[in-house]
Amino acid sequence: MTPGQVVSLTILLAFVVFFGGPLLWLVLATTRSGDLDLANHAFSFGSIGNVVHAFDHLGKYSLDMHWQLAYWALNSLIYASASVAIICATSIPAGYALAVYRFPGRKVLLAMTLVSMTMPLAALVLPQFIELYKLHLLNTRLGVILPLSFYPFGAFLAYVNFSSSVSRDLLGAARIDGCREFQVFSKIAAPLSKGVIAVIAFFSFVATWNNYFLPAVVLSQNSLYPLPVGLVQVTSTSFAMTPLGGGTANLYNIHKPEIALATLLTILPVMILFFFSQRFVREGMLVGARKG
Amino acid sequence: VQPADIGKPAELIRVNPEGRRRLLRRPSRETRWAAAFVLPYTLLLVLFAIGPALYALWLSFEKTTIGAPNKWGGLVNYAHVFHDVSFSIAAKDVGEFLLYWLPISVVLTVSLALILHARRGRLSDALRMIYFIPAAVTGSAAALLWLFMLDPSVSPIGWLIRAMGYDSLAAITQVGNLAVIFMVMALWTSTGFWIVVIYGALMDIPRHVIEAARIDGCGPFRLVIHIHLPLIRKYLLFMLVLSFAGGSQLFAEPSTLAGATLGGAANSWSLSQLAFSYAFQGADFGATSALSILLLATAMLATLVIVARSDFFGTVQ
Repeated sequence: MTPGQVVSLTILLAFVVFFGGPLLWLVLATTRSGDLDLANHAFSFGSIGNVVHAFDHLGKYSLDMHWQLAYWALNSLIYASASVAIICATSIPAGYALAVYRFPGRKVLLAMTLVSMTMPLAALVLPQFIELYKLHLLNTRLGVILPLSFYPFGAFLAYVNFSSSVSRDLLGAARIDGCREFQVFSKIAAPLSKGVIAVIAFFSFVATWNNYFLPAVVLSQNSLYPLPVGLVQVTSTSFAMTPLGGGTANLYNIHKPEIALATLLTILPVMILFFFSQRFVREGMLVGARKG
Repeated sequence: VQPADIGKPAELIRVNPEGRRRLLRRPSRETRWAAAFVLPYTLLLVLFAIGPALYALWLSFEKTTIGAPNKWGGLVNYAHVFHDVSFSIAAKDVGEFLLYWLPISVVLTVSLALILHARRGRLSDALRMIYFIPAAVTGSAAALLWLFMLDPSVSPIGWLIRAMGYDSLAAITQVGNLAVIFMVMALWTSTGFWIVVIYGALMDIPRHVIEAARIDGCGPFRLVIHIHLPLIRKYLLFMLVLSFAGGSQLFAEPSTLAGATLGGAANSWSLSQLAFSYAFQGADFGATSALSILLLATAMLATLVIVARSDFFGTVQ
């Protein structure tokens, strides 16, 4: 190896530590006890028993119901899966129509999609809050699901996909063979685009699962929180990250290892999904990036 | 009928016969199908993006008084926001964060993407994936994970934090350090995503362009400055603008920190948090809307930059 290659490899590996290190630490931290075994090395493995212990404490944590964390996980799953279903059902046909049909208002819709892609929805959360207040949707599941179900990036990816990689001749041939318009979409175009549909589902799942601002604003009832909001709630009610956390002030037996485990449980579903869809994601991002 | 025609005798008004026929014609089959396909999406777009934005714009000019109907207030809410000391503090905080984060993020992303691109292969593919993993962990979980990294009693770099003179999480998360801390969190979650995008852009540079430059005597450094960077300019602009728009809305990180360390400066650190506290502590929807509109206007300005400075629309059509 030349000196240049040694330098570049060193830089690359240093950033493996930066990006991967905290996650590795998190996984190992859940296996340790007490205040993460101060005496031990930061990256040491404790025991599986400690994980079970921490899990048990998290299970007993309750603000207004037993198994609070399990409920939060269930809420997260409901919010994310309902939103992903609505996103796929609305943005994919929209992207298809934008690519295949010429109709009045098409350019406006396309421009609005691009504008709302670049305008971060975080800025809209407070006006959405006022709107949901008027619609009596605050503190309801629907109040979280509906705003999360607008995902312009999905429509954009679908549009790019249907206008570049689905042949217009093929769709024409299907029409001649007697396919009705909807069948052309559902029997021909959509099955040919499974890859991009998977990418849209993946990205929207990540976006909706991790969303913090919207549920934090719309919900004020503990029992309706999703995991990311619940995580902040456990942390602040247990004082685990404050100097009080080690002492008896901790009502719920939640200390740093429990917080580490809760953090890991929050990110685990996305991680698992991520490992199963790596290839799709990489390809889909390149589609988005090349056209964007 | 033109506005100027109002009040004229009917026979003097010129009517464009084609325009009238176009309006009266039934929409074509294609249009009807297209409408059915885009309708649900358009409904969501109007209800949860365009609608709230216009609603906030309207509310931001209304004067709200508890117990009385709203009145037209002109710029009163904007004046209120601009005169609020917390606004200038939050704007300075977010500005400081962006000032650190944007340049460092661009330099880091481009350098790592260039190095990965220079040594394409299995290792490069695997590393890109490792760098990308934190992108799946955004929001409060990422912020909390970094609080562990900053807490000298449990952090793997506890020795370094102590060496810098901080002996507790409370000590290192003091106001003066927050912009740098949020920058590190943002670098951790977003750099991997942009590396994949910029790497893709580098892969799109035709091989013969690079070869020609090499033959003309371009060294690796000049190759980067004169060939790679100009050819990925559009993507860098895209990255910069989206990062700017996203960064100015920072919310999850400071509020997670505030929740974990029980308040302090992190409670009203960013502009989004300030808008949040206008709405919930002050019940001042007018000021909340004015601040949301300011944030949206910033993001729209960023969008205009993309559209004006690149062929963003051109690529799409």
